[in-house]
Amino acid sequence: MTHDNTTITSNQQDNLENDQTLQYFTGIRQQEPETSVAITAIRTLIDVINRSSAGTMSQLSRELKSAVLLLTTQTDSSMPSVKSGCELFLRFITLAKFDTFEIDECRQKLIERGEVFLERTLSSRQRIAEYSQEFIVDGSIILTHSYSRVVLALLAYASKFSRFKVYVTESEPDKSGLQMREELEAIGIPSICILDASVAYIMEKVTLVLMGAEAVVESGGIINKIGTFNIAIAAHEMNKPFYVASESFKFVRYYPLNNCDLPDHFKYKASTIARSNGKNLESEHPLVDYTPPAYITLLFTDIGTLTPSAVSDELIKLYI
Amino acid sequence: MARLPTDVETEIDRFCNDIKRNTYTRSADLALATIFMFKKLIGESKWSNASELITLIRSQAHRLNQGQPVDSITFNITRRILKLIRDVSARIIHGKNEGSDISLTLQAVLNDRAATSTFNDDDNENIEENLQPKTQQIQRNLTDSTPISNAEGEVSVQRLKPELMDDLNWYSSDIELSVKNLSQQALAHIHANELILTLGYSYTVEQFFKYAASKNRKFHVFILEHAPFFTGHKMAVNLSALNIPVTVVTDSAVFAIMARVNKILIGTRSLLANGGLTAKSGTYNLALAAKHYNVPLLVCAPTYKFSPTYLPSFDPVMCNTFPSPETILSYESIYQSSLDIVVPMHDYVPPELVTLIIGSGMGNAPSYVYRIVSELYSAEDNDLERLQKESLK
Repeated sequence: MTHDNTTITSNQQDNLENDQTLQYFTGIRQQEPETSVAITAIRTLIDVINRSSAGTMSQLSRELKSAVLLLTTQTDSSMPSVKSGCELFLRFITLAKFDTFEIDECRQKLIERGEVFLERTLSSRQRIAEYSQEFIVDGSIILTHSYSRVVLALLAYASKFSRFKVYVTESEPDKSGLQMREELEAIGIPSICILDASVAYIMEKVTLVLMGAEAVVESGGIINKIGTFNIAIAAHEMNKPFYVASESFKFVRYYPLNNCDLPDHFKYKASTIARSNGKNLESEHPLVDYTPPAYITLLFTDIGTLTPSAVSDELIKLYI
Repeated sequence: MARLPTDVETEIDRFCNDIKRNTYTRSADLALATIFMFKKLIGESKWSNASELITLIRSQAHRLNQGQPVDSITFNITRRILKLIRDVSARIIHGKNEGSDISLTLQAVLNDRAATSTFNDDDNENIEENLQPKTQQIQRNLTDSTPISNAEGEVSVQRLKPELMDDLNWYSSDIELSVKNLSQQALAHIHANELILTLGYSYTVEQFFKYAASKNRKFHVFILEHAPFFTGHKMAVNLSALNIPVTVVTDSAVFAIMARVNKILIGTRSLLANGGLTAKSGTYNLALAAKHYNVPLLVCAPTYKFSPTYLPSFDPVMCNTFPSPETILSYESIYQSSLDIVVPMHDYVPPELVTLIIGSGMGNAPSYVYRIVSELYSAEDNDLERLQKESLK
């Protein structure tokens, strides 16, 4: 009987911790919406280490892994970037060498490492803006898709050096393009919101296409809001350069061959999958699509400007 | 920072004047002159350790590259020498060759050898404060990274100089032999009874054909004359002196003859990091015709032409040089100011149109150029262009 009691209480404790983790995560999402989702996830993991009462390293790493699982399955946020950010963070801290086996010191060291990683990722948007500002020349007409904080930071920085105009697609189903247009106007960049359907119509006027990405895959392609592939095909046909701005923590070791290769938890929200209960998801609208590397001209990242073929090289270097 | 002695200053001025007067007709000559000037700069200036030397070279970089665009041979050699300095320092400290640049990897961050940002150190105290968007507060650019890590920067001049001068001597003899090494691959690419098309005059391509002819390969060359400079005529004269059958063709006929051509062999002014070319004007035309008929386009480029830069815009007017239009219409014959004559020197050819890049000792696909470039140069020197652009403002 006492045995049963202890199992029940440890389950309750797990649930309590899960709730705390989720609360922390959603708290930051609500209070600081401009922070990238992956960074919020990393901060949550640092918080988990802080709160952890684990007695051994392996218990701590189990707690972290279950926290990652929780974040990827129970929240409705952008799955690819949360997953890649968390995976990179976990590898980063587990590569740390320990001088002692004292658990508290180890935890302290892990937290320090975590904060170093976090600091580097926080400066990545500024780095991207500085590396790629020269590609936005005076008089450019830029086409962008949906709402991307990286593209916003890039354009805000570039607007100090050159004058340009932006077309933003409305980007159904959440019409996030409207928010992008408002924020661009607030910075002082003239921008026009267009229908998703008028991308091919507007393409002849455009100088360059600039996108964010939710994840950059090993082939050099990107996973981004649905509609990106449409724009890439139109840009390719009309010989317009297609640029992608993305932080390096969004690089994932994943190699999709085509669009139906994408796993369901990328394409649909967690709540949608739960709702449909494993039944046919075909009638649901996917939220992301995969754009193959052949359609991408260059990637602007915080580790430099890369061609799509350079991405898998960089991935290997990031993970060794 | 070390000051430059007068001898070195004179040499640099002489070099820049030569560039302005177009003294160097062959790219190999320009490359050798650059290396000679660097040997003088490194040999005779006062510097006490590796990081001082690197700072010295970086501060002079834009002055050495005066009058030339960012993908010039001078800049490439400057960057190569900076990489050599870092490699030699690392070799002295760690006792082995470093391999490719790992300063931005996770490993490097853990071992404190990452390219660090110039964030204010006091801000790191409180993690919560850091997380507010700090873009407005950053005064200096984040990408002004430290050019060399602390340990390697401390290598003293006594240990560094002899090894470095050795490496520089080896590098300059490498450049002297680069065209010869390149041309020795001719037999692999030029086959019997082939019809090869080329554009204008290029010393590298001429040596390539010369070598194949010297080994008794029989082939026929079509030369596009490259109006309005007509350098193709010089190429025709030189090749026919070697008894190579030659036909001179006008530029406008390139599409018409393309169906009969087996392959195209050209030189280039520079090779960009994405595998694209900035080559003589008329090359883009040639490349498009080649794509239409699926004719392979081979480019001969020695290592010092590989540039780690990208073209910010494909607008042909924006990133180009325009010589005097005197050859087209003489100055006296124009009375109206409504007449505009555009004579671009160069064309950008995108990497999708290039089949193979023949370098000193190997042939590579354009999509592999990024890898070669990352091995030749260090990522920390990518901001040299920005220093140049800022000095022009």
